[in-house]
Formats: sequence, C-alpha cells, structure tokens
Amino acid sequence: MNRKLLLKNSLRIMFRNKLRTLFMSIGVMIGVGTLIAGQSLGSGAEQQLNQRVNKIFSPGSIMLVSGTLTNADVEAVEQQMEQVVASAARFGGGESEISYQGVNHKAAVFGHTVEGETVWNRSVIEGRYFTNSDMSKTARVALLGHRLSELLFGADGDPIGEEILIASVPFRVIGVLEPAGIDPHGEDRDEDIYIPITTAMRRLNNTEYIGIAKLLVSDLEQVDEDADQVSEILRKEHNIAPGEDEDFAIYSSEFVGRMVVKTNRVLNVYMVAAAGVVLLVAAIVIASIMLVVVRERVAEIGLRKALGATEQNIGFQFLIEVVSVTLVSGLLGVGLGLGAANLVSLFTGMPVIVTTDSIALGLGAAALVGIASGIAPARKAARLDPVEALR
Amino acid sequence: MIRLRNISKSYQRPGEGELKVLKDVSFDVERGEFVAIVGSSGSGKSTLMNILGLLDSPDCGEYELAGANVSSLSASELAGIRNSTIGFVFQQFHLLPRTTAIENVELPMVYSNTINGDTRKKAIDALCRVGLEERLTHYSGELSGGQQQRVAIARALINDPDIILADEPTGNLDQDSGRQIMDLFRKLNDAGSTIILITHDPELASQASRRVFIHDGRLSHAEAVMQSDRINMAFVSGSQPQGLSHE
Repeated sequence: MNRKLLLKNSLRIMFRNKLRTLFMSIGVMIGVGTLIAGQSLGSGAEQQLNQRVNKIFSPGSIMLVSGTLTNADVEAVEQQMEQVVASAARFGGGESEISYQGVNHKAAVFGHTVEGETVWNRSVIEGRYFTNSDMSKTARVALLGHRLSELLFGADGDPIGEEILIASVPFRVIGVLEPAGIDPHGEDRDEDIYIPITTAMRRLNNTEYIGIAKLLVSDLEQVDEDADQVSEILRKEHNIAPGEDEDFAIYSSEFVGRMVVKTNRVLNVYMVAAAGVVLLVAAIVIASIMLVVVRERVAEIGLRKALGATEQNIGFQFLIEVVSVTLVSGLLGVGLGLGAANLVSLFTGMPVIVTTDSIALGLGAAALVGIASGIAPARKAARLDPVEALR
Repeated sequence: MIRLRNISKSYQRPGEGELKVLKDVSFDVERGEFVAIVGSSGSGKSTLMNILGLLDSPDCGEYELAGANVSSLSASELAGIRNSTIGFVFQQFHLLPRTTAIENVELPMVYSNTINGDTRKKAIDALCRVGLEERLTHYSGELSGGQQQRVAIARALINDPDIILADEPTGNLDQDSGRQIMDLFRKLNDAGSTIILITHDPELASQASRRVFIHDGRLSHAEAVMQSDRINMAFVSGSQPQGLSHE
C-alpha cells in the first residue's frame, strides 16, 4: 500500500476523534517526557560532577594516599615508571587558626610543592606561586584562597606583602589562589591557605610523612594499569608481603570517574523505571482503545478486503495508525520533558544537557509502545472475516 | 467468464446442527452478460454472492473465474483477484466516511499498487461515467443515497474488472434513484461490462438479460428474460421524462 496515502489516512484518523487520540497520547507524552527530563537532568548532573571531580582528579592522574607515604616512595615510583610525567606531594589539609590584625578565621592549611601549581592544577590570580628557594629555605610565605583573603582583608583589601599568623606563626602573603569553588565534599576550596610543603612538614609539624601525592601519567588509556604498577612499587617500598593488607590507597582518575558516574546513574535508573511503568500502562490503554476501534470499523475493514486489501495491508494500516499517534505523542513528550527539565534547572541551577541519544531513546520508546500496543488490534483487524464484516 | 460446478456450502449453527446453504450449485456466466440471481432472504443468494466474490470459499465444488481455477488459492492471492477482477457494489454503499468521492473511487488502486500520476484522472473519468462530474470533491456524507451508490459503482469500475457484482444495489434507495442505478447498469452492460445482480425482486431482475432463481440453496433453471420484456421495460423507463435528469 502506498506510503503517502497510508500516512495521510493515519493523520486523518488521528484528528477524526480528537478526544480518543488525546487519551491514547497522554500516557506516551508523560512517559517520554519523564524519560527525556530524567536523561537531560541526569546528563547535566553527571557533567557537573565530572567537572568538580576533574578539578582534583584531572584525567590521567593517580592519587596516592597513605599515612606513611614519604618523598622517597614518590621518587621511587617516578624513577621506575617513565610514563609518570609529573608528580607533586601535598601535605596537610587540617584546619588552623588564621589571624590578621585581630581578625580570626579557621582555614584548611595545605603544604604544596613548586610542581603543585601544574600537577594540582591551581595557580595564582595575584602575586606569585612558590619557588624552589621557598622550598629550600622553608620560607614562611602563604597563598590565600580569594574568599579567605576577603574574610581577612575585606573585599577591596590588598593582601600581598601583609603578615598573617597561622597557628600563631607569622607568614607573609605572596599571592591569591585562583578560584576553585565547592569541592565534591561540599568544602569551599576558596577558603584554603597554601604554604610551602617543606615549611609545613618541618617547621609546623616536624614529620617526614607527606600524606598525599598526585601523579600525572602520559597515556590516558593506561591509567588503570599504571595505578596497578604504582601499587606494586609501593608494596615493595613498604615491605608488604603478598596477601598482606596495604597501608596505602591508590585512586586513579578513571576509577573515581566511574564511581561518580555510577552513583549518578543509579538515580537515573529510577527515572527510567518510572517512565517505563508509565509507558507500559500507556501501551495497555492504547491496545484496549484500539481493540474497540477495530470493532467500530469492521465495515471499513470488510470493504477494504473486498476491494483487494490483503491481511498484511489491513494489519499494517492499523499498526501505522497506532505508531503515528505514539510517535507524535513522543515528539510532544520530548518537548514536555525538555520544558520540565529546564524548569527544574531554573529553580535548582542544575545544568540540562540534551543529547540526540536521549531524544532518539524517547522517540524509540514511543515507537515501541505503538508497535507493542498495535500488534494485537492490527492482527484482529487483519484476520476479520470479510463476510462477517460486511454483513 | 464464470463457471461454477457442484458448489456446496454449509454452516454449523449452534443448537440447530448443520445448515446446508448451497446444494450442488452449477452455474455459468458468459462475458458481456447481465445476469440476475433472484431469491428471497435465506435462499442462499448472499452466500452464493460471497463465493462468486471470493469473500467466502465453498466446501466442495469447482469455481473457475476468468479462465483460472480459484478453488485452491491463498488468501492474499484471492485478495489480488478480488482487486483486479471483481467490482463490488453493496446495498449499504460502503463508502469511507469523511472521504471525498474521488478518494473513495481511488481506493481499489491503492491495493493494486497502481497509484501514479494518472490515478486522479482515472478516478475522475470513472465518476464522469456514472454522471457525478459535479460531485468530485464532495465528502460521502454530503451525497444523496443515489449519488453514494454511483460513487460505489465508479469505485467498482476503476480497476476495469471482468465482472461487477451488485448485491441489492437499489435496496436502500428510493424508486427514482433505484431506477437510475439500474439504467446505469444497463448502460455499462451495453458498453461491454459483465454484471451479476443479486436481488430479491423478480421485477428488478427482469431488467437483466437473464434471470437465475435460487430457492433453498438450489438454482432453478436459468431463464432468459424475454426480449419483448426488455423492450417493454426500456419503453416504460424511456417514457418517463423526469428519468435521468433528476439529480
């Protein structure tokens, strides 16, 4: 049967009984809308999380965490693995009392190396970063997060060159850190304070354990394998016998990325399941409406058969009629879902990401509902006895 | 054109056992004939018409249509033959609702996959043949009964069928419209169409060139309508000046 005529016929039938078409559409619209809204907000949330995670776990990075991690460990790793292109230890993170001319504030104090500027991916927007000479002299110099700077010096104050106290030890401010925002744990990284790692370890804490080191590797595809190799080297360095528990933890950017995505996907699965239930109900409603429609149109079916329509012609006609309705409903559902997602975004600030995949999924689901709910009515129509139908 | 041999058909009726509707029916129609099958309700004429129209199949017997044995064909093959060989005209017209006259007439071409640039022209030609050149784009609901039946006849003509099967075509029409429809059939017959008319009305049947009576599932002897009868009928209808120009 001619495709153009088939489509024309379907549209005509669709608009003939508008109320019935509405009843057939509504479930598909809501189901597809839920699917699209969930996917768009889910993708947005995923991207937002990834961006936050990437600030610390930039792609191609491996994090070593251990209470007994030393500079020697990190050097051993760097020497034995040529794919490690850079590394930087980081010390501390505990809160200390910061004060400037009677203004007090608690802030997380980190010890950073010269390489930290690139490896930890955070430079300064004012002043200068640490130098090798700061490290060797265990200089009492500090970099402030811009929020902390505002808290101590006011919004218009110039902190550079001023002397502040960190746990009662005087430090000179040499720069302001670039903004980093809120981290995945909800901490405001713009209230941090950085000092040279040598100063932090020897002058303030008198320890040889660095706490955390970050490695950058050359091949983004090999991060997991590299992390395994780092683990082996550290087991040897720390003399850990096979089968014994490690006294360190290793996180690769790949691993953390997967965890974040997995957590986010779990939320998405609930949305997909809800949409699935709605679409299932919609399919049942459509199938029962269409069975009634077939009964109403027996004379037409009989006539078409008398005029030469085969069973396939009749079945296909009814199937196309149903799928047209569900596809149009699906399109409206996509619009509905995008509207809802943008509305949620407006109130919560969650980003919305519309992918062609999610739209294809929505329309595919709509078509599937049409086919699934149309098959039984189409078969019934196709198998109608023309003699009975024309009586 | 049509050759039926020893056709029988029976139905199971709950509580009443088997009902023999057609008993050993043999029947021939030549090309160009205008045959009326006359019978009261329950005589088996509808079943005979369904079998002739390939809408139903006989329990036993042979049916040859346009030179082909159609007793053992599949459902879709039968649909193809219905489409190309038979033109149906029903008592209830059976036009598609909210569809124009032209689109109704085009419908059989949809199923013969012959929709092309000429389709519209063919449909319009067919509607002109039945005198509806003024009603081409009217919806079926906007047409009178007689006009609707003429659309149905145009639809029956569109694929140049070998036979036209008309089942009580005037049964739902007033006398005037009915007479016009019969005039139309006679004209089509004069132009070469083979027509089988199924009716309960012997008088209507007398306008055919041959009458076959069916009673209790059996055909009685086929009888040619007296030539004088036909002339007489033509004279009678010709003598009524309001005849064709009414609509």
